[in-house]
Amino acid sequence: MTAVLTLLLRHGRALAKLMRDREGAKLAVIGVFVLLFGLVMIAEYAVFRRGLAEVLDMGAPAGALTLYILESFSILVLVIAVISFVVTGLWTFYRSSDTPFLLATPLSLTQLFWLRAAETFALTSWPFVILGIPAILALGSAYRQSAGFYGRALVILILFMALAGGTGILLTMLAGAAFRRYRARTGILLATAILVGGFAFLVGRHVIPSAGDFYLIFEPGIPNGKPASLKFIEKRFWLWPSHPLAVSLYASATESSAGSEASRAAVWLLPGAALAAAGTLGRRLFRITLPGMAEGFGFSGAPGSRAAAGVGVFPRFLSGPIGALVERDLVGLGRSPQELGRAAFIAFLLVLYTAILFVAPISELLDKPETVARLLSLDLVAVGYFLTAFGLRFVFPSVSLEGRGAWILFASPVPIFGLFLAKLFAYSAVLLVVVGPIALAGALRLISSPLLLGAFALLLALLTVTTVAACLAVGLLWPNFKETNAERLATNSGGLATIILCLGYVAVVGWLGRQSVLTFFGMEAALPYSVVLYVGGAVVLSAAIVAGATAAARRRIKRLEIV
Amino acid sequence: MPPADADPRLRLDQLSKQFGGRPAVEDLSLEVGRGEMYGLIGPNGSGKTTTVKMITGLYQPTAGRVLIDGIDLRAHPEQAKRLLGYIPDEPFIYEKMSGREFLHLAGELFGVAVPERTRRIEELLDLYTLGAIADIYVENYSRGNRQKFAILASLLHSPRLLIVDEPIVGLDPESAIKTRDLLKAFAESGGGALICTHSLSFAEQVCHRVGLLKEGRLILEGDLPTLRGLAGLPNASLEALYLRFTDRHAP
Repeated sequence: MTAVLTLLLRHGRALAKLMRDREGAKLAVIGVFVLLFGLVMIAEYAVFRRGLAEVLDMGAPAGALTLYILESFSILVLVIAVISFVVTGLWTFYRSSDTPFLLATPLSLTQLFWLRAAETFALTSWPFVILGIPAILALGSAYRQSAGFYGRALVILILFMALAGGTGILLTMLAGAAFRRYRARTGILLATAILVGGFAFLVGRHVIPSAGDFYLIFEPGIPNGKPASLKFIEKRFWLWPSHPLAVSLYASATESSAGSEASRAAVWLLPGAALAAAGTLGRRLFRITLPGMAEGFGFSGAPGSRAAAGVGVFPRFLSGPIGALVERDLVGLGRSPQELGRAAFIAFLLVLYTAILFVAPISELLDKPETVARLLSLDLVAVGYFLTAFGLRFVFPSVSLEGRGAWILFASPVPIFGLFLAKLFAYSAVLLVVVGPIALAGALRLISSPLLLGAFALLLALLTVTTVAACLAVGLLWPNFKETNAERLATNSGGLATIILCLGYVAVVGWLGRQSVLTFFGMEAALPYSVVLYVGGAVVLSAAIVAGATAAARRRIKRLEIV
Repeated sequence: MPPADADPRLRLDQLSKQFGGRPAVEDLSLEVGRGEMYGLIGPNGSGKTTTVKMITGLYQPTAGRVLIDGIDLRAHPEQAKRLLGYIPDEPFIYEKMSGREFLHLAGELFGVAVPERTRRIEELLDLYTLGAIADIYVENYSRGNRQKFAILASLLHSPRLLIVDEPIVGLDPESAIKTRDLLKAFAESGGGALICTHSLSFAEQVCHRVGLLKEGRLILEGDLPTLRGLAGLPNASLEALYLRFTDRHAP
C-alpha cells in the first residue's frame, strides 16, 4: 500500500510546499477561504442551536421531536453523500485522466481501487465536517452535555462517514458494472436518475411526516418505560442504515433509553459491513469492469461503445462566430459527464432545498408577515447561493479556460467583447431556464400575491444576470490562461473575490426582498409604492454591478494578453 | 483598408516586447513577401514564440507594429486576422468535439460559408486521409492527428499569411513530407509563411530566407547562399551555419 499512500500524499505535498514557501498571496487566499467556511459553520451552529432551543421550549414532545429531526437530518446527509459519491466516483474510478498511466505501472487493480476510493472519499466527505460538526456542537450545547458526549459524537460521525463511504463505493461499482457498455455521460445520468428517484421515493415514504405522524410524535404515553413517540419514530426509521447512528447520538445527548441492543451493535456492524462489502464485492466488480472500460481511453473504444459522436456541420443551433463559440461551450458541458454531473448536483441540491419548503409543516406560519418575509428572504439568499456556486464553478473559469484554445480563438477575427456579452447572455439564459422554475415553485409555496410573485421573479432574474456578469468580469480581470483545471481556478484569489462580491450582493438583495414583503403586508394600499421602491433599489444595484462589470471587461479586453 | 498589391504578406516594424521591464524581443523588423517562406530560427528563449504571439494577437507589442498585407493588426485586428492562419506548436483542440466539428467551428470563426467550408473540409481531410477519424471526439486523437487537424484548420479559410510554430513535431515521416509539400504549394499560390522551427533540415528544405533570432534581436537574415557567404562556409548546411552564428560548436 506504500504506492497508494505515495500517490495520495502527492495531493498534500502541494499544500505543504505552499506553507513552506510562505507565498503570501496564496496563503491569504487559503486563510480567507478557511475563514469563510468557519463563518458558514458558525452560522449553521447558530441556526441548529436556535432551532433546538425552540424545540426544547415545547416541553414534553421535545425529546421525540429531537429524535425525529436527527433521524431526518441523518437520512438527508446520507442521501446527499451517497449520490455525491456515486456521481463523483463514476468519474474518478473509471475516467480519471491518469488511469491509462497508472494501468501501465506495476500498481495492481486492488491498489488502484483503494486509491480511487480514498480520492473519491476525500472529494465527497467534506460536507460531513461542514454540516456534522456544527450539528453535534449545537446538540451537545442544547442538552448541556459534557466533553464525553463530544468524544462519543465524534466517533459516531466517523462511523457515519465510513457507512456513507462504503455504501457509496458499493453503489458506484454496481452502477459502473451495470452501465459499462454505455457512454460515460449516459451511465452517470442513468445512475444519478435511479438514485435520486429511489431516494426521493423512500424519503417521501419514510421521512416526511403526515398529520397522523405528528399526532403520534406528540403522544404523551409511556408504556413499558419508553415513550410511545420514541417507539413510533424508531420503528419508522429502523430500515434506514443511518438509524442506529442517529438513535445512538440521540441517546448519548439526552441520556435516554432510546435504541436497543441490536441498534447499539449496528452502530459498529453496519459501517463495518458496508466497508467489507465495498472491499470484497466492490473490489471484485472494479477488477472486472475497469479493464474493459479503460479501452475506451484508446482510439478503438470499448467493444460495443460508441466513440463517435460529433457528425456533420457545426454549429447546429446557433449561427455566426459568437453563436458557434457559445454552442461550443454548451456542447462541451453537455458531453462531459463529470461537468454535467456537477451541474446536475448543484441543481439537485436546489430541488432538495425547494422540496423541503413544500414538506416542512409551515402552512400555519404563513399568515404572519414577518415569517413570510424571513422565509422569502432566505429563499432568495439560498437561490443566490446556488447561482454563486454554479457561477464560480462554470462561469468564472470559462474565460481562463479559453487560454487552451487561444491559438484558434484569439488568432481569429472574433470580437472578444462580443464573446463576453454572448457568454453573459447564454449563461444567464441557461441558469434562468434551470433555476427559474425551481425557485418560483418555492416562492409559490410562500406567497400568492401576483405583485409579490412578480417582484420575486424580477429579483430572481436580477440575481441571475448580475451573478453571471460578476463571475465573467472577475474571470476576465484576473485570468489564468495556463491553468486548465476549473476547480483550481475557482479556488484562486479571483474565485475568492467572486464569492465575496456575489454573496455580498445576494445578501443585499435578500434584505431588499424581505423589506418588500414587510411593506406589502404593512400598507395594504392599492398602489404599493414601497414595494416598488425596494425592488427598484435592487434594480439600480444590479444595473450598477452589471454596467461596472461590463465596462471593466471592455477596458481589460483592450490590453488582454494570453500569457 | 484594402491591402495594397505592393504590401508584403507580413511586415514587422521595430517590434518590441518587454515582460516586467525585461526585453523579450527588441526592435525586430522583417518582411515576408508574397510567395515567400521565411524561417525564424534561434535558440530556446530567443524570442521566437513571443514574436509569433505578437503577430497572432495573443500578446500586445510594447512598441512597433505588425502589418498583415498592409493592415495594422493593432488598429484593425479583425480585418488583419481574417488574412491569417496560425499553426501552434501545442495544438489544443476542444476535446469534446469531433475533428470535423472543430474544422466547422474554425470555418465559422473565420466567416467561411457552410457549403464552401463543407467542400473544403472534405478536400483537406483527404490530404492527410483523416476521414475515418473525423467524427470521433478529439480526446481520442494522438498528438500527431491533433497537429494535422490544427494545420487543416489554419488553411480552411484560404489565408494569405501562415504563422507556423514547429510544424512537424509529432508528425510521422509521411505526414511531415505532406506538410512540407502543403506549405510549398501554399507559397507557390502567393501566400506568405513565417515558420519558427528547431528542425533546421526542414527549414533548409522549405524556406526561401532564414532569420536568426538571438536574445530577442534579429542578428542576421538572408537566403542560404548569403548566409554561407557571411560565414565563409560555401557548402555548409543550415545546421552548421546555425552553430557558427550562435557560437555553439562552430565547425
